[in-house]
Amino acid sequence: MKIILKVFFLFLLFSSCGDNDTKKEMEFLTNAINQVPIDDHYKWIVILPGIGCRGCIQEGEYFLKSHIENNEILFVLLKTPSLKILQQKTGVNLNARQNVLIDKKLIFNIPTQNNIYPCVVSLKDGRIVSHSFQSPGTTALYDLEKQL
Amino acid sequence: MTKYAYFLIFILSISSCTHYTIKVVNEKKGELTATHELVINGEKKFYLDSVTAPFPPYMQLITDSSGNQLLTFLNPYNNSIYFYNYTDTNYINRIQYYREGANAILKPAGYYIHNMDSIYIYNMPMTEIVLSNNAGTVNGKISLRSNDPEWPLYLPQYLLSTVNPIYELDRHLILTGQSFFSIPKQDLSKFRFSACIDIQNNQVNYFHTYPEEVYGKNSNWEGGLPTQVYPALSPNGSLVYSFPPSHNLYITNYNTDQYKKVYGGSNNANTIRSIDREAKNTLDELVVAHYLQQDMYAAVLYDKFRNIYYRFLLKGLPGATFSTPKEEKPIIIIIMDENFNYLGETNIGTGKEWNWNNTFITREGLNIEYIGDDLNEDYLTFKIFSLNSIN
Repeated sequence: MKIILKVFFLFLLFSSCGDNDTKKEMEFLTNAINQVPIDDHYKWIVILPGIGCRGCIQEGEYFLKSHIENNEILFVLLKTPSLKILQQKTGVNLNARQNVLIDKKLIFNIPTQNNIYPCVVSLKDGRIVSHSFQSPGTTALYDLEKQL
Repeated sequence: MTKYAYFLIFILSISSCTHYTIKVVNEKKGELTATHELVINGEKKFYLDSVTAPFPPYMQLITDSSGNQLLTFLNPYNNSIYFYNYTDTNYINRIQYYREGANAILKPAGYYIHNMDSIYIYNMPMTEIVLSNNAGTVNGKISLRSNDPEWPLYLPQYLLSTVNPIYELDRHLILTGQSFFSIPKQDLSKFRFSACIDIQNNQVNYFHTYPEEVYGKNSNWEGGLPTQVYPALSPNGSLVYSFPPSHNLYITNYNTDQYKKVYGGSNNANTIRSIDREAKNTLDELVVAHYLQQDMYAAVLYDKFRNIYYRFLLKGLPGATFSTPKEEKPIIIIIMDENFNYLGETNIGTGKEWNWNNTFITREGLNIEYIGDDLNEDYLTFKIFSLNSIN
């Protein structure tokens, strides 16, 4: 009985919030892509927040500049402080691109603390397969780059 | 033995939570009578170049040697201060600051133009004031931190903005900073948030503590926003402080620690509560949601042309969650006479329409940056509010 009690305490202590966050994020993203008609030809959604982890956002901006011509990627721009300055930085006419969604309604504003990082969402036939973040500890954009 | 161990853990877990929830009651809620309101009666639009975005992080209105009123603002993208004629809205020039080399100012985050030979710039990454000029030359630096890596625990950090500007008073520069953490009870009387720089000898002294009745008793005001302090300069040179969770205003001199407290609240503001958790164990989600749910005051400004004060209140959103944009908070502007008597208040909309951080006063009225809902970034736009009597 004592062992069960201790295991229960340990379970409570170490049960990961991360797993809850991942589940919450998946449900949220599934709901988000149901709100926005996303063409089936997209294999990835790259969500780029404009506010948050500064270095990670810069990596996201560089990724946007490098892969804007890839029509299998839908870029979602979220909380961008200035499209004008982002256009200056990347040299991309963002308003004219079919594969850029300017999310003013914050449909893709992920409801966890990870919303300060760029997010890569993998799709298959218009459904989410997985998602991951470009953060100081994770390399979603580099991982995607290897697949391109 | 095991039972005693569990009992000990239980007692320790309870005794470690020695925080206290502060409730700041609005004693005049529903009792105030409005005689005035604010109405829009004008607009100013400043045409921006291809590398300048609206919503500049800092502005200063100055008068040049010919008596022209100039609107100056910071462009963080190209490290420049821009100058426009406020009256005709024409662009005049800009000062470019370097990011590298002997004259480097890595990230200007506020400034005070004393004259064109003496421009004091707050360089955020180094927490220092840089003395520069209109040629971008660095002529001196004044550090606002110590070598101790834990300096933010006992010295202020600065989030300067148009409504939290650098003031010059009696040959001293006054920078209003803040703590980004809840302040432990034992440190409350020691943490001073205002830096006072004697510009004749670069000596720095710190003044002004957080009021105990709002921030005391180990109360949890995490997140940085409830501990932000907004100053106004009264006509007699006193500083008037607005603390977000307080319905009162605190009046003091730049070089003393004593406050005179006056009521400066809204007829509609509710009781404001600190977070009901111990500060160090509070998740960011709760901190953000709590800030959004509570009524919180913001900037206070003195209008020398009409001899009145304006104070901003960001109304709480009862159902707000972590992902609710903070721009959804309704913005109320409270109007008070020169003795802080209530004149009225006006709800101007939300942060989706207004960038209240860029608010300043001219002869024409209260200028507030207008956002609008289109993606056009060609203009920096202000709507001008004036005072209207309610019959």
